[in-house]
Amino acid sequence: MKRQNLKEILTFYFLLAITILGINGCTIQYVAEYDESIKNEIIRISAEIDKFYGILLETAEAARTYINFKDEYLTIEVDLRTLLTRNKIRPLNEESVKQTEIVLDLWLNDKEQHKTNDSVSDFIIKQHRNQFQRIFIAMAIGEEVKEE
Amino acid sequence: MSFDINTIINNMKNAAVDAIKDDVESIPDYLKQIFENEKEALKALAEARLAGEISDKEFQNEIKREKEVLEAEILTISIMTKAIAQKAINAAMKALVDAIKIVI
Repeated sequence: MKRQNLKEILTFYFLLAITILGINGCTIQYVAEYDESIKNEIIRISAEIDKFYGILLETAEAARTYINFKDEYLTIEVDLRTLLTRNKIRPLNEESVKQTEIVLDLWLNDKEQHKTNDSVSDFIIKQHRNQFQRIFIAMAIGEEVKEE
Repeated sequence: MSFDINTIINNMKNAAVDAIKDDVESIPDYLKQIFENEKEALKALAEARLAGEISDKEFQNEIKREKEVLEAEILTISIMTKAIAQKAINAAMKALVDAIKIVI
């Protein structure tokens, strides 16, 4: 077999191998697959927390006792833990997992502060409402950019 | 059978650039927004502390929270950069495979 023929045959098989890999969808993946239901859940919990602070703000300061809001704290905590579990079971999703852990940590901090002080000031409500809004926007953008 | 490596590499480069152009441009804008948010939050905190609206203990707790909020926001930049790298590589590889399909 001539050297030129051998070179052409090797080139042909090299190109064929790359084509087969390409056709079979052999793509590189650094981030988790986009999940629309997760994005919707982020927006839903964000609205739930926003409503919680809205009600808290509308309540007279003397009536903002922890016991009056205990159930809402628990409901939202469960929602956040569920979101954390859903994020944890997705491969290549470390950043979203960390973000959800931060939200949960802040929520538990809020709950403890409310329990200790048995009230919350207008300033803290507005500040925390804004903090959660910022993180949920970041999380929603983070989910959206995973979409090809 | 002709295999012009220069053309193919050029096509791969163009495909990668086209795929990520808009995404790359969005990162500095988003970073700017993150630090604008942080500035507003810290300004409000400092004013509240100076006015005696919050105690030193509350101020310390709020600073700790702000650090976590900032971390969560910056993590989105990390997702963005990974997604951009992913898009660029896959667009370049698709351009390569498309070129090879024509050759063979």
